[in-house]
Amino acid sequence: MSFNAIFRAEFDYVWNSLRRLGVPLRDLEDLTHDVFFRIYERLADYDRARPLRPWLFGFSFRVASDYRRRFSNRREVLSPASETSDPAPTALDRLVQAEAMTLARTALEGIEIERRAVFILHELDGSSVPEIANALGLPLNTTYSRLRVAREEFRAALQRERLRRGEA
Amino acid sequence: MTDSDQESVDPEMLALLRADFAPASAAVKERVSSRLARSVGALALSGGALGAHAGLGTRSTAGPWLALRAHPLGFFASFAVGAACGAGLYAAARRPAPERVVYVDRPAWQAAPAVSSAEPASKNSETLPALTQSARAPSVAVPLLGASVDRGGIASLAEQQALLDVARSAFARSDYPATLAALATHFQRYPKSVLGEEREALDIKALAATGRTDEAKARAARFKAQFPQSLLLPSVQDSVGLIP
Repeated sequence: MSFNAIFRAEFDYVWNSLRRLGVPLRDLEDLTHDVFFRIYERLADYDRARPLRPWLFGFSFRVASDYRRRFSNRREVLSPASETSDPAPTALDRLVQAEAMTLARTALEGIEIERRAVFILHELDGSSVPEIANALGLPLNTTYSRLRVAREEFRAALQRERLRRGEA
Repeated sequence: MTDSDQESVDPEMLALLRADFAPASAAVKERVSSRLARSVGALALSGGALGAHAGLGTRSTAGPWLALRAHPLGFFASFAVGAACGAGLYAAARRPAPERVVYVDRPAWQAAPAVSSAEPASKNSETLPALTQSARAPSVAVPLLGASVDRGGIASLAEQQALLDVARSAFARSDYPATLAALATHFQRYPKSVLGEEREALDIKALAATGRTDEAKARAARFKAQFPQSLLLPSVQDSVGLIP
């Protein structure tokens, strides 16, 4: 697969991976450029026998981690729910949906970024744990451990946020 | 623990997050594509790992090499060290050769006409397909250590980029005469620029926007032949296809 083909087919995936990793909208464009530039530099290293997206996600994760380290004093907030597609037919449905989406995003933000990467790859992208371990360069047991803790963090963040909103 | 051990993770929340996948706008893709073309062009010009440090004209923020990219002195220092090492290795491996004199184009900063609206655009459109035709600054003899620098040299990349940015800004505000004029000036100063691909793409789009249909289509066809793998090709073809 050529770099050009990857760029066209996977731009949105990289874009959304960075967003899910907590990169704010104002910097998404710059960091997406950086991810693809690194992909360009390392394309020869790609093992075509392995799935592409976990490999791409590895670049997104490293770029997002670098970014986070340099701007660790910033509070990171995922894009507001209004930026997503609008699947609900009524205003009330939209409101409920937006509330639920905000809750889900807040819970995702509650996961520490290294564990969030594993969580996103497994729970949202459907990658297997061995694939994730390979893509992120982690020992298998560490990957399982991070997934387990990430799930706990996600549950805890959901519960915390629901309590705060008086839903639970 | 297994891959499917997720009975206690809220499936509704996971479904929401999976659905939270908003495509980037076409404008964003176009801008990133354009910046990548420049970065990759700089990589090709300066070669290998150094090229990764030489992506000029971007605002990117990540990665240790970007610190060098963000600081011109860091970039030039890196280049100087790399050039010195390369020259040393070359000298060690080869017998001393007599100094070579090659003829290169000197960027005609003083001699170049001011960017105006109409005249340079037509000159540009006539000369661009043949990159060696006319509009060149006078050639001067410059003693160099090595090969010819027929693309203006790395040091001029920032200036080339700045001139392209002028054209891009004009295009963004739909000022197509100014876009074409800036591109014509760019071509006049840097006829064999490493950024020629981006310049040509923007030129075609500006021509299409001004209604110069046949010219734009012909140039788009040549662009496709010259840069079949270009990231800019879809937008070029799109601009030509949209002409009524």
